[in-house]
Amino acid sequence: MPVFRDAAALEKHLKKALDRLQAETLITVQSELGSTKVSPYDTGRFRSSWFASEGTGTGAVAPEGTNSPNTDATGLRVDASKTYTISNSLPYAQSVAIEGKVVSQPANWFFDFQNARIPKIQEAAARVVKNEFSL
Amino acid sequence: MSIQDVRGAIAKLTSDALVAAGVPFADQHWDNVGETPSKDAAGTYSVINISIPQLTEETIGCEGVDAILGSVNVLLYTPKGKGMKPAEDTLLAVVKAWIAENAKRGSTTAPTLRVRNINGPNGLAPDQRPHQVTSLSAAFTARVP
Repeated sequence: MPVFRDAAALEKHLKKALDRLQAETLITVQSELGSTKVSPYDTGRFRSSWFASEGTGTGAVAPEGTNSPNTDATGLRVDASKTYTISNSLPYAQSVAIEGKVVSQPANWFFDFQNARIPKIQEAAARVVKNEFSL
Repeated sequence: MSIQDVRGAIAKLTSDALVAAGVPFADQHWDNVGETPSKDAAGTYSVINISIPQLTEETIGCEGVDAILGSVNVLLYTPKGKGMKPAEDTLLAVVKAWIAENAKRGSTTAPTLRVRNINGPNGLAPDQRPHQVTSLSAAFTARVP
């Protein structure tokens, strides 16, 4: 654990750790949603259309023919005091995620990811940040 | 312990609430049971999916502890163009049943459920189908005797 003799330096250190925690969580969630192990997969456009943004979603979708995970979360300058959104704005996204109208994943795939997987991602991110910042 | 005990507990809780709110059991469609609703545009029906993606939690030094975690999603299909009230009133009854379960003490003979992260009711964007779709989802944990 580093020693701080200046409260402002400690505050800065903790703020950086929180930013890093937020970024790590965001990047991992987007990465896993882009994986065919999590998102239902047919042409690959759905899994490619998970976009990360500050504030509310942008409404962006991947062009037809796209078949690779989106990684725009890695380019965000993440500030832990702000809200970030990962959204999929394809017209059929609600049917696929909420109604579970899919064949390549269980009907509840999205809620399983939300309830069982995201807490694990947050725990893992916290461990990474704790080690990285000697907390 | 059987997974069916856990599935049965959350299914019965949800089903009874839907019946009390006016959606008879015949109009409830469950995983691998009556998966193809055949209601006409004037009817109301529900599709309920329950999954249990986690049964144990990894621990250091032993084989893990029981930590049963599941998801339940209730989709209510109501006639389009009639407003949100029928769907929201029905799903509110389900929410109340889930919350009431949380207040109960643990049982030594039946699974004890705790329902959390209740999300909805959310109306989905209408498409070409004759029904409005309203979703209510939650996570639940179960402890079995």
